[in-house]
Amino acid sequence: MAQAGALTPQAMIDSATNAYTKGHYESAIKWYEQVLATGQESAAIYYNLGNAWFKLNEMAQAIYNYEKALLLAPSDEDILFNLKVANSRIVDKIDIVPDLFFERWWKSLYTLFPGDTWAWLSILFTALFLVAVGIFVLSVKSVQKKVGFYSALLFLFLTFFGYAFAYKNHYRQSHHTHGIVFEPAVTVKSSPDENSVDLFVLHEGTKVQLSDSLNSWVKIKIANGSVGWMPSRAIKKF
Amino acid sequence: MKRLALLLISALSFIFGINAQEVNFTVSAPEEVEVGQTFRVVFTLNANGENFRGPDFKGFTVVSGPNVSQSSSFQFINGKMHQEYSQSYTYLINASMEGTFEVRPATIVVKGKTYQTQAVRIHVISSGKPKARQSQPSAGSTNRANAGSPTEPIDDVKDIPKDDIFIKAYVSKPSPYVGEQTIVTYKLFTKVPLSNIRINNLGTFPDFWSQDLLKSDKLQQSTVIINGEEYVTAEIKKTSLFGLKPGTVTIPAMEMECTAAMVKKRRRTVTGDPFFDSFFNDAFFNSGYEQVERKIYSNPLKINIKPLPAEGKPAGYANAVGNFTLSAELDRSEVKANDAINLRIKISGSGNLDVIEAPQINFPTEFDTYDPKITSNINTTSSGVSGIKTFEYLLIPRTAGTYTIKPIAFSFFNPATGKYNTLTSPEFTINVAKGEANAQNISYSGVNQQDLKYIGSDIRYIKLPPIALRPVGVLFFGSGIYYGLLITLLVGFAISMLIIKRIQKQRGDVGLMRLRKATGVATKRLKKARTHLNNREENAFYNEISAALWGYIADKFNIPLADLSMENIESKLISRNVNTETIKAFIETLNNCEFARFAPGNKTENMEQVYNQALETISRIERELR
Repeated sequence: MAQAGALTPQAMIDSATNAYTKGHYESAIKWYEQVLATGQESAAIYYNLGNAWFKLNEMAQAIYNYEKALLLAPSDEDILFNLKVANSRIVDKIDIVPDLFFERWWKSLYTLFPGDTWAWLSILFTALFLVAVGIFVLSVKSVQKKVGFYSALLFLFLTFFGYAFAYKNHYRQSHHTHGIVFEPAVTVKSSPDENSVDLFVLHEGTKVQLSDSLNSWVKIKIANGSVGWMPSRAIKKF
Repeated sequence: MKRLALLLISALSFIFGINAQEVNFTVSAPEEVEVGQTFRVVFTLNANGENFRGPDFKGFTVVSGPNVSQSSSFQFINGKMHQEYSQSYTYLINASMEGTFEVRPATIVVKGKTYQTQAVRIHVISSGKPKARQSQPSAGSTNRANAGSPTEPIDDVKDIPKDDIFIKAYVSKPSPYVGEQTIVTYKLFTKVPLSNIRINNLGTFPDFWSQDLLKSDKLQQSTVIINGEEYVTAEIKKTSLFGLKPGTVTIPAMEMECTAAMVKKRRRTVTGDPFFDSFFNDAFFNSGYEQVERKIYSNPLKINIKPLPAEGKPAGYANAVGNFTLSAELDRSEVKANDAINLRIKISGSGNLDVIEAPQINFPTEFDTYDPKITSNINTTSSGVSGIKTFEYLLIPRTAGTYTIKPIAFSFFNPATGKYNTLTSPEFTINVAKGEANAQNISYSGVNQQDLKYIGSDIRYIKLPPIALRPVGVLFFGSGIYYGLLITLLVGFAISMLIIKRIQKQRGDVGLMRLRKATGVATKRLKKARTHLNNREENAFYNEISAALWGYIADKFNIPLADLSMENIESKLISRNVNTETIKAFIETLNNCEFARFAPGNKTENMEQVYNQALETISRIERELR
């Protein structure tokens, strides 16, 4: 392990895979962490790391890494499945408030591809839009003009969405809008003050949405819509 | 006090000279009673007597007595003072069997003289029987008084003076607070040996929480001397009472049955000296004694229970009264999850320990807690109830973390100071480490989720190499490349649109197209004309040249061919800023061509000339327009 620095990331991944297969999860974690330490990442690395933590029964770590992986690959089925399993093994069982249909659609759309894919798509759609505009402008025959007009409209729409989804993904990755509770149990208070009223208790592994922060406190929202404040040290953001 | 009062009264009677009064010693008893009825027999003396000896009440049961009471009154009538003094000895007697019984005379000594009452007959009838014996000769007054006369001591009388056996009830604190301890003691005094002691109506204590203080069945005996008489005394019952609610509570008299060894005396010596008397009347000196059943009653008690003061009552006060200390300890503060911890709270001291409830403790919600195991170790000494009450809490932390148990408060009322006290334990901090669990088979029974669907199922396997890596945090969206691409797209679009527009414009301008074409077409025609010239085909030649020229002009200047004629060609060319010389040359060429076509003559010679002229003109216009 000492000469790990000399290894290429791919060699590290091979070692990690070996260790994981043999059930040496701690060492697999070390290898994956070293891969990440090279300044490179991948949804697969986070996912594998999450698996190793899961095997060590560190659900908070596992969920954290699955969520990181999901950021890079929002629609990866394996990640979604394992995240679901890990979430079923944490203490807090939170009834998720169902999204409205359009929120659901929006979500399923922007998680359809990773952010970069959406970025490329937005460029592609832009190009197609421009082509359609060109056809519309240049064509002499009315049928061509119609086709050009409608496809321009369509691609303008797609460009808009591609751009919005790309932006959304980009925002999620560059801003830490969510977090995982890393303390075994943390009391959520009604205000950022140690002496305020205890609202509820969250346990290790629960995902929270972060909004405001004040001093060492963060305002959180959990999946059922409950809102409160907790010390930021209890949370690992992603 | 009593003696002092008597002394005072005797002194007064001496002073007022009323000692001449006749001594009257009477008995008053009902004539007829029913079986089971309790009645009163009163011996009254109108002087200060001593050494009263009551009858034995053979055939009856003495409930209590003799109860001595004295009263005196002074009256001034017509300047003369009358003093009335009375001393009464009252017995409560229970008729236990049917028949006619004689109440033997009682004796008393007044100033050295012994007085005696009359013997009284009492008919005891069964409770159901009609009272037929009312006209018995002996029936008459219920008050058979007899002028007391000195009598000799009575021989062979089974004599038990009523104060030989009695029970006295004491209360240590007649007006305690609610919940404060007060001790009620029943003390038996006896001069005769007793056996078979049975407490019938064991003083029940409603509105009290009671705790018996005497544990052993064996009575602790001791001897006391009361009024010069020696009694064997023993506490037959001692109870700690804790009032449950404020108010005055009467504790009914205690009833005790016992078998007394009654001395059968041959001769009683009445010396006036109690010690001497009892010495010689002792069973040791008397040959036989008889077992007599006796019922003895104690005096009833009244206890006034005070309410606890309302002021200063702590919030969590829960009825503890006394003086206590609190100690709380945790068996360990470093545990793993799912390991049990014991929290032991000890409340020790004296007071109503039994009433004390487990203190309210807010345990962290992560802990499984169970009802405390309560053990009381209560010592009941003769001084009261004291002891230790222990509450043992079993705590099982379910998740790792650091938890604190806030200080436990316990409040009590101290009747000695009349104030409330509150004790608190220290705060406890518990570090819970992660419990031991294998990765594969963890029991999640402790958590709230009930569905354990995924036990036995597993997560999906890791992703295998090769894994494409990319630099952390480098995102395509928003990067320079992204915007560069977008801009390139837009700029490229703009440029290509411009180009296309231009081409289209060029295409869309037919004249320009003609211009381009014109030279080409003209050249073609001229080439054709050349071949015609070589073949000496005059007509075809001239046609070609003419068409070439006209077509050229039409294309070049974007004039429809049909509009062109010899007449307007000049003006048209002028309007297009063509050099007049060139126009002249062109028209001349056209004219020559026309002329050569239609004029007779040597067409073949002209052909060469016309051809050269047309070529010259076209190239000239071409040059000019460039």
